[in-house]
Amino acid sequence: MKKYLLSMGMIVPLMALAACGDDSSTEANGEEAAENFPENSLEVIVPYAEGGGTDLVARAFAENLQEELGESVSVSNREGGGGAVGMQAGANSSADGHSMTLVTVELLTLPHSGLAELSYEEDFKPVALLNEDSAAITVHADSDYETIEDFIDAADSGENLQIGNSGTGAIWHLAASALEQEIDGSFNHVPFDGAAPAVNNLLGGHIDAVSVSPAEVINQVENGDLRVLAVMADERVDALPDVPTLSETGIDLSIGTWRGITVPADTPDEVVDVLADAAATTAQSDDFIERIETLQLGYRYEDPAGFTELMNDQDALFGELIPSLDLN
Amino acid sequence: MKRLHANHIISLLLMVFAAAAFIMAQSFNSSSGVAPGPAFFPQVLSGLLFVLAIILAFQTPTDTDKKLNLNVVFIMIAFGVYVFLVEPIGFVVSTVIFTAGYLLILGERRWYFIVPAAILLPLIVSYSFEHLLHVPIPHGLLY
Amino acid sequence: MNLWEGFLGLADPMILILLVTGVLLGVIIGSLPGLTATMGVALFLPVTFGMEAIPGLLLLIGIYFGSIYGGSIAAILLNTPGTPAAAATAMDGYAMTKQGEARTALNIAVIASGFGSIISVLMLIFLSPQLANIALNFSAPEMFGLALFGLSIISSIAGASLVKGLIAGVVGLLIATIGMDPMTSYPRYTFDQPVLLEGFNFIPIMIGLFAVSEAFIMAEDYFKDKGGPMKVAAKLLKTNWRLMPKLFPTMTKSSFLGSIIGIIPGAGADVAAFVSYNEAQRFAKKEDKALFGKGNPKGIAAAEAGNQGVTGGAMVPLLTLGIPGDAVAAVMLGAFVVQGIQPGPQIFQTSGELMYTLFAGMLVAAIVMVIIGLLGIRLFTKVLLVPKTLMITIILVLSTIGAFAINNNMFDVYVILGAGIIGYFMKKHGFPASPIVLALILGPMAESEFRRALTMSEGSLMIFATRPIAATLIALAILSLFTPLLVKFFKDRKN
Repeated sequence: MKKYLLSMGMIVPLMALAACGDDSSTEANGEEAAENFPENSLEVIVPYAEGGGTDLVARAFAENLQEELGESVSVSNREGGGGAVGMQAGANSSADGHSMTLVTVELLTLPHSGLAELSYEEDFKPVALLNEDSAAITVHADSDYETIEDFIDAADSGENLQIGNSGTGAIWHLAASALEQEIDGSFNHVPFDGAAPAVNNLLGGHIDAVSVSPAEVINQVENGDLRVLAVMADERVDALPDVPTLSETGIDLSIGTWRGITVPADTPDEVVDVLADAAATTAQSDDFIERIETLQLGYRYEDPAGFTELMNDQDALFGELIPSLDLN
Repeated sequence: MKRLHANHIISLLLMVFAAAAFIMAQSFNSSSGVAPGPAFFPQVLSGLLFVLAIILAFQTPTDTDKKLNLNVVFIMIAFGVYVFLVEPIGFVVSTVIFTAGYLLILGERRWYFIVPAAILLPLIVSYSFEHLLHVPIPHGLLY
Repeated sequence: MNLWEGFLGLADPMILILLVTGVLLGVIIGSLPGLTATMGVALFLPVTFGMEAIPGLLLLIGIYFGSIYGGSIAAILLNTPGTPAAAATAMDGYAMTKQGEARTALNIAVIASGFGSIISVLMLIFLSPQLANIALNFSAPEMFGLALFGLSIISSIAGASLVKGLIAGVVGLLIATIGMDPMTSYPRYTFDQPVLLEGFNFIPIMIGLFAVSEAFIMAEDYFKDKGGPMKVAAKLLKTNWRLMPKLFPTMTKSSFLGSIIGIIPGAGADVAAFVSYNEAQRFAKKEDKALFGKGNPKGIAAAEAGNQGVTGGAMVPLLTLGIPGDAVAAVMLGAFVVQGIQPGPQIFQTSGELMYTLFAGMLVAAIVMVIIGLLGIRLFTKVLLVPKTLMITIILVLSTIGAFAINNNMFDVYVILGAGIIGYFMKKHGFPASPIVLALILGPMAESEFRRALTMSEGSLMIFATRPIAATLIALAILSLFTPLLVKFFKDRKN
């Protein structure tokens, strides 16, 4: 309440200032704004902490966009609420194209879980999709499950498989739950505080499998300690060319995390177009692709239309999946 | 029964707190199957707190200085005002006012001590946080 | 490739300058309330993006080492621990300052810290592959045992009244349950307030309970004892160097303990400090035992060697398994990945040369830290000469900005105000603050690991009895919780 009063106290004088300065609305002047864009430095809001995967993608993008646009692009981390705090801040930021938000799949999952009042359609306009990592069903190298079929058979025969994930309601939990529903099995989901302890427990043989991103297990896989049975993607993953997709085994399920650049929904279309062009060049540059690959993340670029399609598809998926899980 | 003392009051407050925590926890939805749900720990803990509060009531307080110093209340309020001013008007300006005001409240009267302190403290802190440590500070309306 | 060649790789003045800069920055970050080691390393991570691997990583290592040590300075001099890891140091450190022994206390802290990091780095260099198995043996039941063991310390840090200490601990554990339940994400005690979903961050609570309430107490003392600008400590005795040899057993034991705790994923420097402190106290002789909390040099030596021991320990699972052992190691993982180095079992084959240079750099960082610490003591103790009026103001201003910096969030600042006022009344009525901090650190771990273990066992409590490490830790916890209770009971009976 106090916070609200304070912010009201600030907003009134600010609005007065804004009213004196410039009485033209942004919508009428979208074209003019687009011509002058970018007028000053830009910002990418990252809803997660420094040093994490999302942050590193944002920094790689910002650095390359800076060269493309000739204006400085800074990264500011606004963590909290599993990403809700930063994405909310991004939705409320100035709608002139100068502040972008790096959104993740949580933009879709948090609202369906009742943990954030965000809407990918009403709060944001997509600019570019930068990365996608599909869930990888991973077991210990000594495990009896040699293939995904072994694994599914075991689940079918009533064995209670322990699947570690990075937290209840997190995307990797949703991925395992979706598989559980598809094969009509019964998993014992063990939530951990992040992917690292889940992988640690798998290495120590305390659980049967994990469903996390390929980047989080690839080292152990290359070293022969862990084995990926399948990835939940439409196509095989570059980093794991020998690993089949779930659809190859007849299960039509594609689920994982992705990261993309958006701007607030009120940003004029003309400005979004200019920004999307710059983002397209940046995201498809060799330098950026190389950075993403160094980070062992999955590279996938989509333009605004493709990005919208992805979000529409996934939103429908989560809209069905999450309520059926009875998370709380 | 002995006279009412500080431990009785604290004990009563803790019992009310524990009871409230216990009752609120009863509505915590538990859908986690065989393992204890979200209500388990809060309820065990509030039960434990209730028992400890009862034990406390039977202990005689040690002789510490219990009189509330009015000056202390005053400096708490002054700090509270500062804390709520930092965001709207900005760290630097509010800290100038706070430093000068606090030194005066604490009985400092030498202007040649107060003025440099009130100017240098906010400037050094804001400069080092923003430029040496890359930590953002709230600027508010005034700075 | 060996360690000697690693040292040769450091023969570049630029690298030494970066190491010194890192340690200095770390000491500053660590000594400021709110700025923790994790934050310090994260803040400077982007700076290293443009650097070569070795200089960049060593800058971060310097900050890591420096900030863990730096936390002890303000804890000893002003009873305001700069980082959670230094909360255990404050207990005996500040007591020594009040007795005029600030210099001795600071010297013990820096030597113990250096000891801790050197022993843990040596363990990292020579025993990594063997030690990595410790990390693999720790699953939910073992983690619960460790958390419970850590919590059992409450009974030995309770101070004068055991009941009050336990009450503080249980209240802390209850506060820790506020926010989204770590296992099911169910919001508990949030009253539909979005700020409460994440729960209370324990660092602002710690700043409030220690630093802010200490400022209020200082102000009260000042009002009572007016006069010219008073000094915080009346006397400043010379360092008592003869004490040091007696502390070596404590330091050695705590360094090993800290290293082991560092290896266990999920347990960091704060846990190590409290556990080492408790172990030093448990095995102390009778008269010595009574001095803990009242200015026992062993308390500082144990806490500081323990929390610094984590530095090398946390790198063990990171480098050998590719799994970060604590929050700082998680940020370090990001730093490695950006440089194109994937920590993991193959790192010695793929980047062996770099590893030995890094190890050598870590040893040098520890030595740089000790030198800076020893040289700095004269400067640090000058803090005690600052007029009390100004000191109170500075503590409050730094607490405010430090709390804000944690998450760029004003809510944390309001928390230090509330916790400061509560902390003041707690001190007045003999309730100790450290059990609350300990409970906030370990409470979430104890709860989620307990429930995770039962999820894994499908509800059977036998999982805690059938796994030897878990069973041992739980037995130790019960022993350590009830020993002081029984001792007190029999003592009371005698009288």
